[in-house]
This record gives sequence, structure tokens and C-alpha cells, in this order.
Amino acid sequence: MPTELPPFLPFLIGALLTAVTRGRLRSAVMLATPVVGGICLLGIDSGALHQVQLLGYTLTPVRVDELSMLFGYLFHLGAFIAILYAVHIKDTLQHVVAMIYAASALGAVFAGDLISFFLSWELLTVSSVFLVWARRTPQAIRAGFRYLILQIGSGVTLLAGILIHVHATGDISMGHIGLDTPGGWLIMLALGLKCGFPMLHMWLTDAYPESTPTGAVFLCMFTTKCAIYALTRSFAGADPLIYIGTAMTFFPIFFAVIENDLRRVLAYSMINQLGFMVCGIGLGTALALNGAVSHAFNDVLFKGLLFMAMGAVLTMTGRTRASDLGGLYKSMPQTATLCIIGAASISAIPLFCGFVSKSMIMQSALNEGHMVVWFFLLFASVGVLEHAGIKIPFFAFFAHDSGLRPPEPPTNMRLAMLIAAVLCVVIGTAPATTLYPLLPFAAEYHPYDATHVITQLQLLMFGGLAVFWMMRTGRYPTEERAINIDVDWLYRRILPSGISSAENVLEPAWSSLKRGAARPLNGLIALLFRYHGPQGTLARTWPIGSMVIWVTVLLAVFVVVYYL
Amino acid sequence: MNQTPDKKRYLDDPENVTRLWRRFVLACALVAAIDLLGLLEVVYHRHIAFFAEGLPGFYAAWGFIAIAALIFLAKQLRRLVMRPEDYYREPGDAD
Repeated sequence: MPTELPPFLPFLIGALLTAVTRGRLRSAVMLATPVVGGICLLGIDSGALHQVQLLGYTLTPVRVDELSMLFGYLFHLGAFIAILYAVHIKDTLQHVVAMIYAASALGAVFAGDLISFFLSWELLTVSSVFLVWARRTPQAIRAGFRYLILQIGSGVTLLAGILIHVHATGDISMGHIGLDTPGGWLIMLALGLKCGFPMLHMWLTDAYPESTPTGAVFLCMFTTKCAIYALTRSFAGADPLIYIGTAMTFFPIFFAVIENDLRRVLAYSMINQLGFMVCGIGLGTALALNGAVSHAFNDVLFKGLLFMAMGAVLTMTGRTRASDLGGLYKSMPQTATLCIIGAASISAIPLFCGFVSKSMIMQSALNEGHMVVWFFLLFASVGVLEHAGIKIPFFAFFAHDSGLRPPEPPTNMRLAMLIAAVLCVVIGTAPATTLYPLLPFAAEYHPYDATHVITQLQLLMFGGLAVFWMMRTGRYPTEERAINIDVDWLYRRILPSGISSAENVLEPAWSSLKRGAARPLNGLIALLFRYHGPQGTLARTWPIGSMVIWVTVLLAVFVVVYYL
Repeated sequence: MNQTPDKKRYLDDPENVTRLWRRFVLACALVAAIDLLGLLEVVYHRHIAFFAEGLPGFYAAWGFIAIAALIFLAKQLRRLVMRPEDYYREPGDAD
């Protein structure tokens, strides 16, 4: 049955119902929302479904094509998993904003024009920050504000870019924009901020680890994937993206190795994975673009799974620092197993889903003759194995025994992780019947050939060999109870301390300036007071007679002067 | 928290860990050895995009070297960016 229901509408209605219901009814409403939305999506027509005339522009809030459908399916799937994972908590605020957040993500990927896209983009920002604030710790509140400021910066940049673009071209459709058109760079930077371009990435590693255990799962699914969608739509084949993406795969892995907070490791790992996608978008061939969007699809599953596993650890133990954890496999064997499946998927081990998507991007880099880029990507691929594939499960569930014996997390959490893990394996083993038919661009690709499987195994196994060898010989960096400064140091430390030291220098200068300037000014004020003050000559009440005399005198003088 | 007394696990015994480690090294050696067969075109035909990729053991060596370099460089990075845990902490913050 064809439907014309806007894909974001079920989630907005769901948000409303979530706000007014409680208990089991609310759980049912929340879980039903992505299911109902998904069923409507299956029967949706393609093309521009809704159009609105506004101020001389034709807005297209819902435009359906293969690219938006892929992300539509993905977001429904992701939302279902994340809602199932979060359904046991009793925080109405989190549930409602999570639904609005999912709705705005769907709004963004189905927006057919730049204005509708901008509105969804802003709603993404406003709804997502509450998932950080919902942790309700002072750190989370501050991180949320920093997050909000940067995200609004992205929104303002996007608006500026759109205004310039529309003014110059008169075209508001959300299609290919490219860097050559006016405003193109601004729009790309705005999108880039939301998918963690280098030097614009710090909101991600700052705020995501401060969010609630369940909020992080939503956060890792939507914002950055919307940015990837929009870059694919509007900037496919833009050369700078190849190098930006390569840088994104490369620098976070170093931070991830030394980071102690395991959810922050995942945040760095996320930038690394987004880097592969951005690189694929920059390469711009059909195979590379398919690689980028399918990797976005898989990333929602495996990064979601890893965030869920770490969220489960945080929920049950109250901690996520590698230095505080270890040995949890003894009491949380199911969570540990599911986490390892996520880790294997992100490391792109054959038969797991990362393998069937990332390799498309690597292959495209080779096909297009970007050898240096390919070497960097290969380096970063092994890096993923180190920090996400081994470090995350190893330090949480194995390593030195922390003595913690928390029970397994609630059933709904385990079920959500199980669904994500099963999908990781199913897509990894049978991509040709699951993920590949959904891909929007026409390109043949077969991940499972002997050369590819064997070389990938060699790469990863020897990477693992190096890690375990270094661990056994004491060369591996120990987990330190410490933090690492990143670019946010500039505005969290340098800027405030610069302002306060500037104040220290300027304050005495200002007071001496005031003192120096005050002396002549005080004289002037005293003089004015003498003549104009309450007792001053000029402020006195004058008798009418003297007024008349003076008027007569002035008139006489005027007449004499005029006569002469 | 679950307070049942721990039973001895397989991984608690260092000898078992060493045994697993040896098996893993052996598996790595076997996977690398496939390259030699590939060279002789016994098991599979390698299709390669450029010269270095075709060298036997290229991927294995790259995997090992990349991790070693990554960890070495990350340790150097620590000197530059590592700060005490309360670096950004303000009064009243939760642990």
C-alpha cells in the first residue's frame, strides 16, 4: 500500500505520546514508533511527495530516492535498537528528546530543499544536546553547553552558506552543490563540523562520553550520519574531502591508544570511521560512494553495539575508565561476547560487517590511483584493530581483574545488543542479499575473493600479534588515570586563562587611567556644579522684572545694530 | 553486585594464556605462509594492483609495523598531551 506519510511524522507523534504516557504503555508506544514508521517507509512512493509554497520558494519537505531511503531504513533500524536499549529507564526527558532527535534525523535525510534541511539540522542540534545534559552531572552540563555552541556554529555557517548559494544561483534544491558554487565551502564546513573534520571534531570527543549510557547510543547513530548523507548528496567527488577524510582516519587513532575513558576511545574511533566515509565521498566514484554509505550503515550497527556494550558496563559498574575496569567477563559473559562481535565488525575481520563496506573505499582509492592515501588508510585500518578491536573489549572485560563482579545488564539492553550483533554477522556473511541491494549507486563489488580475505587476515592477525607481543613484553602503554588534551584545550584552557591574565594586566592600567583622567574631569564637574548646581548662579529663580529688562536691552542692542 | 565466590577460570592460569599465545603465533605463521603458496599459484591466484602489494608477506609486515609505529608514536604523544585527571575539574564536579 503506497503511503505519503512524511517519514519523520511517526516519530514526532511518538514523542508526543511518550511525553504523556508512563510505564508499560509508554514502552509499547516507544517500541511501536520505529516499527510503524518502518512499515510506512516500506510502502512510500518515490519522488517529491510534499511541496509547500513559501515566500516565493517551493519547499520539498519530503523527497524520496534511493539514497534517502537507505538512510531512512538505517535510522528506523538504529532507532529501534537504541529505543529497545533505553526502554527500561524512567527519564521522560531522555525518551522524548530521543524521539524528536530521530525525527529530525529522518527530516534531514528526506529533505528535498536546503531550507527544510536547515530546519532539521537545527532540530538535530537542539534535541541532541538534552541527551548530554540528561546525565545531570556538572561536567555533562558544561560539556553540553560547549557542544551546543559548536553545533549552533555549524547551523549558522550552514545558513550563511545556504543564503549565499541561493542568492547566487536561485536554486534551493538539496542536490549536488560542489565547492565551485558560491557558498559551497561554507556549506561543506558546516556539514564537516557535524561529521568531525579535523580541528572541528572536539565537540564529539568532549560531549559524547559525558552523555547518558543510553543517550550515547542515539548520539552515535544520527548526527554524524546525517552529515555523511548530506556530504554524499552535495559534495560527492570534491577532492579536498579525500585528504580531509584521510586525516580523519589517521590522527584519532593515536589519541585512542592513550585514552583512558573507554567511551572516549569510541568517540575517537568514530572520527576514524567517519574519515573512511568522507574519503570515499571525496573519491566520488560509484563504488566509493557505495562504500561510504554502506560503511555509514554498518557503523550505526557496530559503533552502536560498542557504545551499548560500554553503556552496559557504565550502567552496571558506574565507570568506564580502562584503569578501573577489567575481568568483567567473569560476571558479564554475554555482554563481553556481544562486545567482541562489535569489535570484530569494526576491525573489518572477514565474515563481520565492517569487512564488506570499508573494503569498497580502500579498493576505490587503489582504482583511482591514490597510492599514498591508500597506505594511510591501510595504516588506519590496523589502528582500528588496536583501539576498537582489542583495547575496548580487552580492558573492559579481560586485562587485570578489577575485582568488580557486576551482573549482566537488564534484558532489554542485552536484546538490543543481540539484534545489532546478529545484524553485524548477517550483513558480514551475506552482503549480496542484505545490504548491497539497498545501495543507491550502480557498482559491482564482491568482497569475498581469496586474495582479499587472506591479505586482510594477514594484516589484522599480524597487527594483533604486535599488540599482544607489546603487552606481553611491557612495551604497551599502561592505562593511566589521566586525561589527554585535544583541540578543545584552546577554548577550555588557553582562552579563559588568556582572558583572565589579560584582565590582570589591564585592570591596573585601567584604574590608573581612570585616576589620571579623573583629576581634570573632577575640576570641570566642580565648575559646572558651581554655576548650574542647585545653588548655582545660573540655576537661580529670576524675577520677571529682570527678565523683561534683559529682553528690552537685547532688543535695543538688536535694533541699534540693525539700524547701523 | 554478585557476591558468589569466584571459581578458577581458564584464563586465570598464566600457563593457559601462554598456551593461547603460542597458538596465536602459530596461526599467524600459517596465514603468512599462504603467501608462499600464492607465489607458486598453488592455492589461489593473487591479483595485485601494484608492485609492493605482491611482495610475499607485505600485508603481514605492514600490519605488524603499523601497530608498532602507532603505539610508539602514541607513547610520544602522551608526553605532549597527557594531563592529570582533575585538569579541567571544577569545584562540585562528580567523580
